[in-house]
Amino acid sequence: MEDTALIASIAQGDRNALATLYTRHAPWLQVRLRRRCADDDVVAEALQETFVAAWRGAGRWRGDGDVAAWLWGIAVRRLVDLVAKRPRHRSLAGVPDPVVASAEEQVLLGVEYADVATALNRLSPDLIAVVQATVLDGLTTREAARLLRIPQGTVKTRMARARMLLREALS
Amino acid sequence: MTDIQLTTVGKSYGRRRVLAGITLDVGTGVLGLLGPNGAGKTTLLRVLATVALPDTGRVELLGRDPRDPSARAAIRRRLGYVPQQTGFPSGFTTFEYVDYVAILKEMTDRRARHDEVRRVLDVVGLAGMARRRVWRLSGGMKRRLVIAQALLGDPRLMILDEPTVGLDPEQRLRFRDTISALAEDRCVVVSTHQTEDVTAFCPRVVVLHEGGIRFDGSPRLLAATATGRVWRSDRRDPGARLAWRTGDGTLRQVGSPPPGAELVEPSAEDGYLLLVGEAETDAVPEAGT
Amino acid sequence: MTGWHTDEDWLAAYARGGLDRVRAASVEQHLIGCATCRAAVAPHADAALLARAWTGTVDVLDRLRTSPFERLLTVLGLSPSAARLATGASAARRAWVVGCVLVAAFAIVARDMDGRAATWFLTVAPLAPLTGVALAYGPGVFAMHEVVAAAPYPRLRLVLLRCLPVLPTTALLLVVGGLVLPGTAGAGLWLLPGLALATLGMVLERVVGVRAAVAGLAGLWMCGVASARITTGSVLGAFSPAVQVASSVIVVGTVVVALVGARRIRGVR
Repeated sequence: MEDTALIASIAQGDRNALATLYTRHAPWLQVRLRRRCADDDVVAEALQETFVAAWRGAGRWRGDGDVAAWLWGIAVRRLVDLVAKRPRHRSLAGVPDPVVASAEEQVLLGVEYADVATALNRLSPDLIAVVQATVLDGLTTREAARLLRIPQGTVKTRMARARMLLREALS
Repeated sequence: MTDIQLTTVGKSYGRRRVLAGITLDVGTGVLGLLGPNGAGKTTLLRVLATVALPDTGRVELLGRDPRDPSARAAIRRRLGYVPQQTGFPSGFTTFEYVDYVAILKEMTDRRARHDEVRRVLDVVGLAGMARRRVWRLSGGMKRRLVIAQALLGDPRLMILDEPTVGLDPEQRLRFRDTISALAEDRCVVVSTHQTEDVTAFCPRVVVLHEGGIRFDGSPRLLAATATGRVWRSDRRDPGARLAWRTGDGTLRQVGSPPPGAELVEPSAEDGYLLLVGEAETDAVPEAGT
Repeated sequence: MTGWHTDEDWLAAYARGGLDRVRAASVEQHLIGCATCRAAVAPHADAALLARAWTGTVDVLDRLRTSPFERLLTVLGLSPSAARLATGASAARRAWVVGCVLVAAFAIVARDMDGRAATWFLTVAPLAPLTGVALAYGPGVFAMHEVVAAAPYPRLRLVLLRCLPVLPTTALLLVVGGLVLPGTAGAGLWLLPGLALATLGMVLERVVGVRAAVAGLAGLWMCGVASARITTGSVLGAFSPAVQVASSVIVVGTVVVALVGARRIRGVR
């Protein structure tokens, strides 16, 4: 069954459809969440809340866009909320990933992939974390601030700094 | 084992005698209850479901007397009941409706109860409708929902009052399948208007008429009661109490055949028609067209 | 999708957290749009963690929709299923409204009662709200009556449970209504003994069973009416301010004790 058909069944209250959606999407979501949070309890909870939200929100699904992207959008925000709630929680696992959207843009603009990689890899972990949260995961400044446990202002300044460094490295 | 034992059970509403001394023993298997409107079927089934108590006679259900409150609760714990008419509180979803009945059936453990609710919804093919409001369901779905609640907790005794009303042909077949499977190891009493329901899945048929039992036996035996009273001809004969044109163009007639008539194999329906003597309705329905 | 798929080694490395940032980002971007690669990365997920999250999901979904009143009843110490039965009434709006109307009508009639007729009427007064609620869930009014009638749940207990949403609502409505229509607030007071009876009934029911609880309380009340008649010369003594206060104390007291008890149990956990 197509993902969109599954969502329609879920909206009607079909538990089996939710189970199918879970088997299909939970594994990759878990892998991806784990790259952002080393705490298995938090990942499990985020995953659980994601599918609870999918169950409740299925009725509002408008049928546009990708189910996978929709689920990831929920999952990463749940993760942000959970991380923000845990006082002694380690913030992001130290493997921040960089800027794909802009990397792809740069490739399109004729910049060598290696240059982008080098430029990105040269950024400090703090800056990369900000770039990842805002650009790759599509979080707002406020959400990124909660996830990284830094003030919103810091997110903005780090983002500006990362942008500047990248522009310098690629020009 | 005898699950239902009725001894000269009688019940009246005002001056109207609805049940006139019913004596009946029922064990494992499906019993089909046939009878015209007002024959007392629903009253009898309400007695069997412990919802009504008889005025006279003795009732024993699952070896207990339903007059005794604690015995009544014990019977109800092992009883599934589909009333002829029942409404639905408007605010409930399909799941909540069955869950509400499950609580009333004393299933206190939430997880086990919810598993059970989902199981019975699945049996009647409503698993995909769990979150739909009951008032939005079609007539057939509502009927299936009532059947679902009767399946809760794997009851030993099932009392079904016209459960197939409102079901489409495919759902009726599915229902027969479900009930036949259930009746392997429990006692099921089904009332119906439809003789074909009875011949299809009831090894035992009871015909109720004017508060009394007119027939008790297999559908084959019911058909046999009409032996020599069903014939075929081109014209309506004066001895026919009922006649209708069949697919092959001839008239199938039930009643007192003229000498030398071409007799045909009677069906359970013929037997039933003769028993309840619906001669006064002399209409000639055009069947098989 | 595109026909191009992520290399199995990349996926494995990505799942381990080993892939460098740029490649990992590229894999993630691809996963969003590619069902094949999402399936290919699945074996690298932690099966135990997946199972745990699924159990958790099912548990949350099983909690169903609960109204605030239902949650309050659970906090007060009712079992979740009993709270469900009490407030299942909210789904059975018609029965609930009929119950409120019957009870309110009783209260307003009771307020204007006087003379000899009042004697018998008031003797059964606190039972009247219970009867009103029972009627509201009777055949012809409560849609599910026939199904409920064949269920083993103790009938009297069900009536008490159903009183829980009806009585306070009606009392509150009458008191609020009293601000608009003078005199109806007084009618609300007539419900207090009935409410106290229902509340006490719920408590005693756990100890002595529901029949004994209701019968005992009804008996006590009738003794109270009789003694009021002897001492003050009028059954209205049974509805004196002192009785109203006592009833309020019983209702509020039971609620507070239940709340404290619930908190203590939670604290122990």
